[in-house]
Amino acid sequence: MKRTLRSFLYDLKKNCGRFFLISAVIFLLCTVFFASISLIRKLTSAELPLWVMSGMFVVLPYLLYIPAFVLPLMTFRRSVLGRDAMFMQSFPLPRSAFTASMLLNTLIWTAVSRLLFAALNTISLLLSEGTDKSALNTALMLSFSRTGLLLGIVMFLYWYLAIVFLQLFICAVSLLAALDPEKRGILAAVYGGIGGAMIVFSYTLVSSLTSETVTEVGSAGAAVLPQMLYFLTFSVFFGFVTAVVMKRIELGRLEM
Amino acid sequence: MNEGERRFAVFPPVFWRGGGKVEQVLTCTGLGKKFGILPALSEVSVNMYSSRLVSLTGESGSGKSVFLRLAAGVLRPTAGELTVCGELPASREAKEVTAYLPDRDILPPDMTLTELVRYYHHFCIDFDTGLAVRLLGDICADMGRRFGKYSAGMRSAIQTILVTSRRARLFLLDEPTRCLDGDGGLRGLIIGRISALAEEDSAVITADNAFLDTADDLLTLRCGTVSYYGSAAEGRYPKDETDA
Repeated sequence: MKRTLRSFLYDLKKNCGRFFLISAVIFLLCTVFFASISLIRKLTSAELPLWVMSGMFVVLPYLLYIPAFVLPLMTFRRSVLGRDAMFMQSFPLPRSAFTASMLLNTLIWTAVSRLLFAALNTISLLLSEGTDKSALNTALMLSFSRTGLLLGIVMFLYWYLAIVFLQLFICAVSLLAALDPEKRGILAAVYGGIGGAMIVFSYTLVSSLTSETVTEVGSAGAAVLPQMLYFLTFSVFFGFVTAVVMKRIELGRLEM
Repeated sequence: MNEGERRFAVFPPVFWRGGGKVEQVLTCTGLGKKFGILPALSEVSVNMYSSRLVSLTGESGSGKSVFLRLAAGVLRPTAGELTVCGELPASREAKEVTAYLPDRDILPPDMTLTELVRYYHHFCIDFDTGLAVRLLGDICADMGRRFGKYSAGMRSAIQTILVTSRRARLFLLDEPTRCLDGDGGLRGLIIGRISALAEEDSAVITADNAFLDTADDLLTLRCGTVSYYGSAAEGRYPKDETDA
């Protein structure tokens, strides 16, 4: 347990600089983009199509979740299958330590990404034309109300489960493909393709069966619960596959 | 099983370097490993004991590295059994007592020596930090320099020092002097360090010609099978067969 915790702290420290560098770049780019659009609209009164405006202002902040997804996954891959694997696995660490470290790191980085996301949303509200101070104050008050905080926690858990679900899917596919190192590429493509198709199909099915129009803030949290359950179920399944397959990987064959 | 193997299978060696009790550290029975349909090792049955330095010899492709990798747990046998201190090699219990040095650089090139020493200190209970720092100082290694910035010879020496600074019961060393030139200096220090391991009650198996004269026992592989296992002093060691 102590060594697992140490492994997590080492990975956290290793990724700290990279996480904040990537997040800062994304944050600054988004801020500059929002500011530029606002300035252009103020100076020229040009109107971009609504779908472009909504897309840019709504979608771009989600880029902040990319480092929380990529960095722990890359560390896991390097420690289990990549160039650091022989080094890391020469230590008396349980194999579950690598998965646990990835999940814990994702938790921390998702929480930080969520805070940056909220900050960027506030900035985009400030820069959006038509947002006056009273509307902004109302939005901020709602965020810090009990309902708003509860919604914030639910959305954090939603994104955490979504990221972990994808990470464990990629881990399971990579490890299954690594069982036969000579055909690793083809197997990864096959398993990834089949698994990906199943996920897309089942996710679409779950979403269509549980969709409902969200009209109140309080309902937004309840609307994502079925998806959270879906992510949790598949995360447990992929985590189980990862744990089982990791015991069967022959590190020595990967290098031959 | 030849006469040498039979002798060691039943009677442990009488003379040993260390002062402690002789213990059976590694046991393998009918050990075999195939890659696809190609056999790399077959019917290897040997017992190895503490306080013994075993030199593993054989031509290229005879299965030396495969044997060491099986003992280290990075490969799984396709036949037979192999245990280290009674545990499976890939288990955490076996890794607690086994120190493995592969035949290539494995340390992350972006870590400094200080970070590496700290890493070993935190994850290996038996790591002697003072000894590691002293030996690294003896080879004039800069503790603040990244591992990847050193020459091939220094990287090999640093890696060997870190691995052999553990107080493990079994050392598996695959070509520890491969990048070290000359007879003295760095090479001499590393050879001296490895030779001293067996005197510290550890079992040492090394696939390196540099230890042919100082080894206690000789394990010679030929086409994946044991051609000789016994005392190095009595061993048959045709010079034209060696290419470790």
